[in-house]
Amino acid sequence: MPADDDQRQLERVANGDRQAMGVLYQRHHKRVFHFARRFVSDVAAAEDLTNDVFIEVWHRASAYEGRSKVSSWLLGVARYKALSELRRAKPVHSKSDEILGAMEDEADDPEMVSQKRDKGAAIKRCIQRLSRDHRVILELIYYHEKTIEEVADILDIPKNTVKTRTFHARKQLSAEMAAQGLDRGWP
Amino acid sequence: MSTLSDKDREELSLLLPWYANGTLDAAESRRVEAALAEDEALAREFDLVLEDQAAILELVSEEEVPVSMAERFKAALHAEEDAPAARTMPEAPRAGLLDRLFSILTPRRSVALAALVAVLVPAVVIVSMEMRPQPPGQYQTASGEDDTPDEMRMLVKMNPGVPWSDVDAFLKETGGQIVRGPTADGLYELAFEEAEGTAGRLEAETGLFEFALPAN
Repeated sequence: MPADDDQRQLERVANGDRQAMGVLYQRHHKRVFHFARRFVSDVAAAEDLTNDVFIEVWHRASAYEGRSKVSSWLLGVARYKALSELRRAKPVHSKSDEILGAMEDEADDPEMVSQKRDKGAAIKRCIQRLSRDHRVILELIYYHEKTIEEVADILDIPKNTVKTRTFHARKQLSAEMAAQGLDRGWP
Repeated sequence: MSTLSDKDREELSLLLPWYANGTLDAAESRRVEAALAEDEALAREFDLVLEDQAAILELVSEEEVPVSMAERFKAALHAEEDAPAARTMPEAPRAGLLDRLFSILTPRRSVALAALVAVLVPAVVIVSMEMRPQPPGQYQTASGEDDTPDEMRMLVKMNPGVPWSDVDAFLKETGGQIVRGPTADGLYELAFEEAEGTAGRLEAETGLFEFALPAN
């Protein structure tokens, strides 16, 4: 991702350039959407949240000071807006997700059973069972390709916490795999 | 036979995900590479990291982005006003006490006053940085300090007409301080030692802040 050009485009946005806003949106909206998806219970809410982030950027581009990459700033803004929204709405999404997960387990059909035997599919199922914090941090590293410092910035946590939370996420993933009968031999 | 100590192995284990995503610096990368070459347990652990990475990427790629999203954004952007608040010209800075003093003095007296200011201001700044709370409007408090990387920083814009006493009370209550500002756009950077719950407090303080965003 052309980080320098992102900054240039953002400067143009700060001067009211709608075309530059379109460029930034095209470059980053998918990543912001996938990040937002972890904080809200449905696709439509993630879509709204993502677009809200970019509208906020349209209004507040001049608040960006270049101390982090534009992509990291966008994720930080998305997280802030998402958490604010969650506090307002006090959703029960995690509970309903748990209930849904349990129902899927009980209703395993033969196809699902064979899928469970597939290691890749099993890892994905286990990732979906991780807590939001654990899944978000793994996605920031593996999908968003963020450094330790950038993850710390986006999540507002110390760098050491970034490392230990990631380690615990990996451990939890192995524990979920073990619970499905797939011992990874670690930790 | 591995020569890694338990402490080294533990430390390197924590870095494996960033070795996988290619964002470690050159020295750390070489350290991890050397350890992977000599330590079988760490190498097996790294295989799992690569499995996790592949699964995460596959999961994200399976998550469809709504096709209507970009169109809806375009429509929303077009509905926005042409001159958003943050882009309006900042207020001309009010003439400070010193500006006003210089403006009424003769050139020679100005030079003498400038010399006095040059001696006194650094001392006053140092003293004022030690004192909390600072007087309203003089919040250039910590620009010379090193950033503390683990604290939470937010950029805020105060609502027009908010009394500084209210801002002071909020900062006292939340353990925050203004570390910079105002910028030309009227923004202030706030630092909080406790990140937990602070974002929510800022969000709730709609009477004080026109908006708050993570500092970048």
